[in-house]
Amino acid sequence: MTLAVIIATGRARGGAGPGPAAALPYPGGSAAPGDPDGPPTLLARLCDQLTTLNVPDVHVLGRPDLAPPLRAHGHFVTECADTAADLREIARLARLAWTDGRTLLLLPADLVTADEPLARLLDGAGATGATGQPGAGPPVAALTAPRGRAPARGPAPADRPYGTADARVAGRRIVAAGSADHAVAGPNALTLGALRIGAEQARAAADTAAELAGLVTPETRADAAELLLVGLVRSGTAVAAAPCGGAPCRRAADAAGVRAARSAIEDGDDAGRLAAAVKADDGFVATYAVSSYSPHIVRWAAGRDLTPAAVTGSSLALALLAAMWFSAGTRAGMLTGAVLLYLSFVLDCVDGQLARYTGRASVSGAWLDSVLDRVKEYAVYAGLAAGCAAAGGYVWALAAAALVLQVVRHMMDFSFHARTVPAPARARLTASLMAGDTPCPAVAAHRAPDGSFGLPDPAAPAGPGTPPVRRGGGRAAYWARKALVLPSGERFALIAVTAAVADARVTFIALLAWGAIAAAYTLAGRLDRAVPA
Amino acid sequence: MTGPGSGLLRDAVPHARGGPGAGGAAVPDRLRAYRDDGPVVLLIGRLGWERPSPPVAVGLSLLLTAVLLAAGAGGWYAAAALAPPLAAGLTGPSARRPLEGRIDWLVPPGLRTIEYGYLAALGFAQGVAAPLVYVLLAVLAYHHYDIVYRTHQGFGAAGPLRRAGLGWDGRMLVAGLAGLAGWAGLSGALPFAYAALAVYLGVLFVGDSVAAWARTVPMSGRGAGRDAVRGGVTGHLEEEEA
Repeated sequence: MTLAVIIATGRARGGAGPGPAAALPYPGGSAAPGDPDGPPTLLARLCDQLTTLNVPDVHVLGRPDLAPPLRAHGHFVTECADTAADLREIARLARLAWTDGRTLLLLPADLVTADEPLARLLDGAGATGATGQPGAGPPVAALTAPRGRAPARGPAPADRPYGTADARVAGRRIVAAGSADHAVAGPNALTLGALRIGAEQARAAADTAAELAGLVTPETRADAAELLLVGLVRSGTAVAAAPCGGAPCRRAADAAGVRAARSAIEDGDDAGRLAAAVKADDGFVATYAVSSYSPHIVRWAAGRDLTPAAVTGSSLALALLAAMWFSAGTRAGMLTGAVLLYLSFVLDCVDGQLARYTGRASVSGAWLDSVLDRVKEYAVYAGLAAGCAAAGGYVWALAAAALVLQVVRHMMDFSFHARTVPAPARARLTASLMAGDTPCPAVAAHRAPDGSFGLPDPAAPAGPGTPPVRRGGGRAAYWARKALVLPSGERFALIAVTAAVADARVTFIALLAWGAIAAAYTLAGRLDRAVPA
Repeated sequence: MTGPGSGLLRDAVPHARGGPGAGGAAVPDRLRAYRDDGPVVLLIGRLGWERPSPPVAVGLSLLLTAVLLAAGAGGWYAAAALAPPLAAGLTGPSARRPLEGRIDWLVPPGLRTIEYGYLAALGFAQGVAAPLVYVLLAVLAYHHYDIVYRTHQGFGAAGPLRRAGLGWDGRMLVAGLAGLAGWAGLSGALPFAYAALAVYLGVLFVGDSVAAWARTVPMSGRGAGRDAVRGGVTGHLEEEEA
């Protein structure tokens, strides 16, 4: 259980007179929990995010003159006259958290962020720490953002974004924290005034806050959260850095700041969804010759409201056109067919990405895509064989052999994946299967952090060209192992290239030779695992 | 091929009874559906001998088919016609055994090798027009991919038309008998059989797919819940992970 304290003492700049930054409108956001008809404001959005994160118990601290508009929006506000009063109230709530064994979450009301950084900050208590034991991570963490370079010595330039303070992070731990009144040497990160304090440290935090309250003077410019973080770090409390990673995370003091933060969040969401729509374990050709730019096509198609099935159909049409050009048997026909086949493969990748991106993935769409992929491939074989016949050659038997080999290879895969594994051996077998030939995204996603101090780093998006788990041997070996089994991208590329520069006979011989090697390789590997020595 | 065999044939497609479940119990059924056994094999399977074990039976059948085809090419044409009944007789007794052994997953690809290899070798050796041989193989490939993708993705169970597909054994028997007839002097019997099989099975399988599509898509096209994303969808079976 968590107790959230939102510090809504910031004043908005510009606009229609001074008001609380917390009451800045967030267009398209949600209304406050207490007033469903109220305007969508920054504070309402933050409360809504906290509700999503299962933190319904929210205390809002505000200045007496700024509280009325927030109350009018349905928030319950505790009035604090100044920063010292803020600290005293925080100390009171921290003691409460300590007594009840609850986590204290301290957030600025003008924080505009996607959900992930908040969730990461909140979940840090259960993170795997240096000892590898859950819960062994530091109970105190602060949200950090990347910081531009600063001189290693001397005062840091005062061009920090609004609401941020300098910090120095080493080994995912905040070793020095600054504020508007405290300089940090060699800062390499920014803090945003967002803190999580675990129940076991809440008592110490309460004492620190109470002590700080006595030290605040009228000249103090730093706000309560900054001061508390400085106090905790300087008193030797271990504070982990919770990096917001690639996710947008900033504080807004005016309407322009809200707009910028909001568009960053929406772009970030869109880019993330687009990256997630690309299959992570595709082959080399699909990853580099198609997926490197296909997200642009996906976005364009989504903007035109094209359905995945329409893209699948276009891909089929292009492949049939390629087969027709191949069947002419002329050099021009072969070249045109090769280009059409490549375009067909591009659309073949786009349809699945579009389906995942637009959330329209469906059983029937996946079935249609899979079946038509095979129709395309064997239609192209037929076109090539017919073209060779038109040119006076005879490769139908080779075409049939290539088809049979490909069907048998696919059937080996399908059956292998549909087999029953004896229960006791299951984990070992599955693990070796995954490690052996195909990367396992699940393993990559759940891999423990590197064991260093602090919170798990946000996983880098597994976009194109990010091989998931590698068995060793580096990138080249990874792609070589993938290409060895001749996945469909490599197959289509092989067909297009050999057809363009040579003829159908070369294409089929290459397909048969490579396919036979692939079949022998996978069969040997699987039999080796299936039949223990 | 319906009539007394219809109840029997329902057994041939186990997922048609149990539904495409995701649990472990459905897995051996999936491999049995991949076998694509026909009425002859399943009838023999009713005897319940269960010997030899499925992978051994398929391996022996593969070897025997290759030897008989080679003998046919060597001049004793009737030998090739013996392959389908012998393969059915060898694999039939264990056709109903669950495929749970360590190498039982080799059974479906083994059966595909036997069927496709037999049809291709017989057709090319007996002078059936090469494109016709290719088209028949492509129709069968469509059928077998369709079985896999449908059971894997839970997209519609096999329709009632599926039972008329004859199974691998039935198709081989038809081709073998036609080859025998052609060898006995009925010229054109084998090309006719290939053309008839290609047209009949093509209409059957593609029609079945279209019917399944028509049943499902009105719901999925509007983004209805039942056809929405499920576990197996994004995990495409489209690619051959080794």
